[in-house]
Amino acid sequence: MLAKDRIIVGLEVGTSKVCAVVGEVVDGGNILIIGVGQVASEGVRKGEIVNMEAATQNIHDALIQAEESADVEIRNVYASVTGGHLRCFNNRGSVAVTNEDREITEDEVRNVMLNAKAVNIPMDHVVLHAIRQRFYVDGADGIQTPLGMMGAKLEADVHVIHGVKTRLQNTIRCIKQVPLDVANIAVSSLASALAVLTPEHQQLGAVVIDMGGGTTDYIIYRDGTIQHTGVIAVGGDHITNDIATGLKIPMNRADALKIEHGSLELLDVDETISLKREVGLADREVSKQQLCRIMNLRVEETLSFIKQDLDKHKLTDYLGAGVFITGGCARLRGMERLATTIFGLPVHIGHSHTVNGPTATIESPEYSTTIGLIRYAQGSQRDQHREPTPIQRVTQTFHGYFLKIRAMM
Amino acid sequence: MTPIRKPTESNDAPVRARLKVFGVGGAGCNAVGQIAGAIAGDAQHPLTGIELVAINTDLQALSGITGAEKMQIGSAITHGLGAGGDVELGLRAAQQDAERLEAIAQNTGIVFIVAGLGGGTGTGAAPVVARAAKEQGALVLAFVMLPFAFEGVGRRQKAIAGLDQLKAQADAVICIPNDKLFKVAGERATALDAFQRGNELVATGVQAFWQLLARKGLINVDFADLRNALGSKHSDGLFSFGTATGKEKSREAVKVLLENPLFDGGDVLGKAEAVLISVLGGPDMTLADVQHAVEPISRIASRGQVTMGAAIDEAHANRLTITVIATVNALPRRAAPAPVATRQPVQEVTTPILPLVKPAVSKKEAQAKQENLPLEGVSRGRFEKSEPTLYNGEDLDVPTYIRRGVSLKR
Repeated sequence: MLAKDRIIVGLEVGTSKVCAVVGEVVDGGNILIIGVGQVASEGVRKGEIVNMEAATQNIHDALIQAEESADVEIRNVYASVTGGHLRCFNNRGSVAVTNEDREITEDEVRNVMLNAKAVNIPMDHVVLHAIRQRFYVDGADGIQTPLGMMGAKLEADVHVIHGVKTRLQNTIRCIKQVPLDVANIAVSSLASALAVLTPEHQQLGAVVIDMGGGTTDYIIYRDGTIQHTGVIAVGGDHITNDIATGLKIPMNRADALKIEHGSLELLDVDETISLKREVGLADREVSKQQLCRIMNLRVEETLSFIKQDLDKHKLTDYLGAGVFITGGCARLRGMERLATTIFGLPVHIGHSHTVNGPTATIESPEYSTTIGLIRYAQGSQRDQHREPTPIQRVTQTFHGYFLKIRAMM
Repeated sequence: MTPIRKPTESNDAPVRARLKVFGVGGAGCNAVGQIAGAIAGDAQHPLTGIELVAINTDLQALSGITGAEKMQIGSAITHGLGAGGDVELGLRAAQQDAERLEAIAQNTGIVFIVAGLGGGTGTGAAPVVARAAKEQGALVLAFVMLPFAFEGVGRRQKAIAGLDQLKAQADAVICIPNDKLFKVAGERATALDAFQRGNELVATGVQAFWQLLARKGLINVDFADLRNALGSKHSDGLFSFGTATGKEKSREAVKVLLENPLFDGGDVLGKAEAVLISVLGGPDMTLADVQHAVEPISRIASRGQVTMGAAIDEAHANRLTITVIATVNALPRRAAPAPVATRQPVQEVTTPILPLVKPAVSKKEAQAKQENLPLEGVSRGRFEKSEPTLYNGEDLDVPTYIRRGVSLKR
């Protein structure tokens, strides 16, 4: 029999699929994937739940599948969240070290983190993650753990990710209706990065782009810490919609066409693709050139937005390990080449090589968020005692929030 | 509505509508005071000649302002003290002096109301001032600053209640949430800097209108156009601007404008019903510059009725400033008095009063009819019912090839 907290379940309520992955923490902290459950998603648009009932049913079905394949009983899950409403920024907090011997203790570290997080976010937003980046002691740069050091002034840089509270609560509420407990939530980009990047990659600097069905999430690591994150509410769904509009065919045909014949490479010579007669749909012929052009424009645009964002934050020169593309759209033909021309950096299609398990699962880019959630869970179980977790922040009652504000004053 | 000027008053020189800026309450008076100070310190200041009025309950706060007309309201109620955060008191103070407010707004084409919401006088009195000005036939635009989030829920609720009141009275309300000032001024700016930047923003907004009407125009916009675009809309507004120099100045200026924190991803511009674009350049400005500046913005604001003006300022050589003011109707669509807003004023203020630019008017009428074409709905396809994905003002749910104008060869 396995100890309870050695089994960790990651759940992603995505736009194209609801997917649960069961991981087991084996000796030495390695993770072994022992089960997967996946169903097509019906209640999600652009990464956010729009139909609670359908989403709840999908979650239920996916988890039943996962339970069967892993032969375990699932009581709680770690869930990923995303959506175009998520925002981020970097902030620096500072405190004076006031105790007599000028030694930096847990208290100072806690206070400086509080101070760094005390920033203005819109009223309806809640801080999802406040990730420590680096510390400064009396202005000295690049300190990772200041505990025990001497100094008069301690500063900390944090990366804050925040989003609309009610929208974040929707995912949690859906899972609770199944009924299941949500152990914690994490933003999709962070989860994907944990699955795809090794600590060496994080140190060298890398950007992970998770292009899923409804959103494109990205995260930038530099010197081992998270430097920047972002969400663009554009994904594979948009590609399909573009094809459907451009070639005047229904969505399901457009989707099949994208997967079977689609490519991001522009063709010099046109080819004709004949669509077979299906129930209620007549024979059609479409131009492959047009198909590829529509897809190329959309993906090129989306990746260019990320490139612009990297340039704006002057991060392009620090990405030694290059670009990692994951999520369902990473499977699109020609993705590697297109991304290479846009970023001018080495491009890898992301596989979740930080865990062990069946190759089919690990090498599928669409599982990286869910697999990453297991690694996230492993990390957050380790330092649970430190700070309120994202799930606590999001589900906090207003009363509790008020008390906290009072305590801060 | 009463005509703005009697035809007899307009002799040979082209008449332009008078423009007054009313600062209401503490924050409003501060803004007006700062504009007055800037004008006094600079003979070439673009706002020279503008009429400023500071309105407050607090006599002491008023005494600190120079260069603006001052008006104390509610002296019988507050005895020269402030309203102390009491909205009711601010409201009554203004009502008591409603006649004086009307008198001061008389014969004015455009009234700008500048106020900070959340306090007593600004929140309570601004709607009354707006109403008074409206009754005198002026076009009333309000620039309001909302409190910081840290100022607490109570103050915010007051501000929002006041905002609703103001929207019901004024033609357009442009909100500058103080929280955005952080973004404009930077996280580490001092409080004084941040507020000063807020006031500068207001000044820039006023200036955009002022130069539209006052400067020698390459493409003229007159008061009738403005009224047409903004009148009686009771709308939410967006305000942003960008300045650039150099060879590619028009494209650069658009970029700066789109990146301005006030623009906030262009949520409003994408949905805007009325958009005012003002381009200010030096004598060296070419028509191509104007086109490059206006085209990307009007493309984003494809759903709205675009009014544009280009003006020339000698001091602005080799520089280009674009200012955009966009409004979205805050009331339900059906309640909007559309026919009144689009036709009646045009008929009323005809040629002898204000020089009308004919093509602009006819073009606008044609555009107004186009508004209801279901074009957007078709191209958004699957995402028709979901909230648009706006990125730099573009709706990303619309296929890229349509937005880029790439034709798919058949």
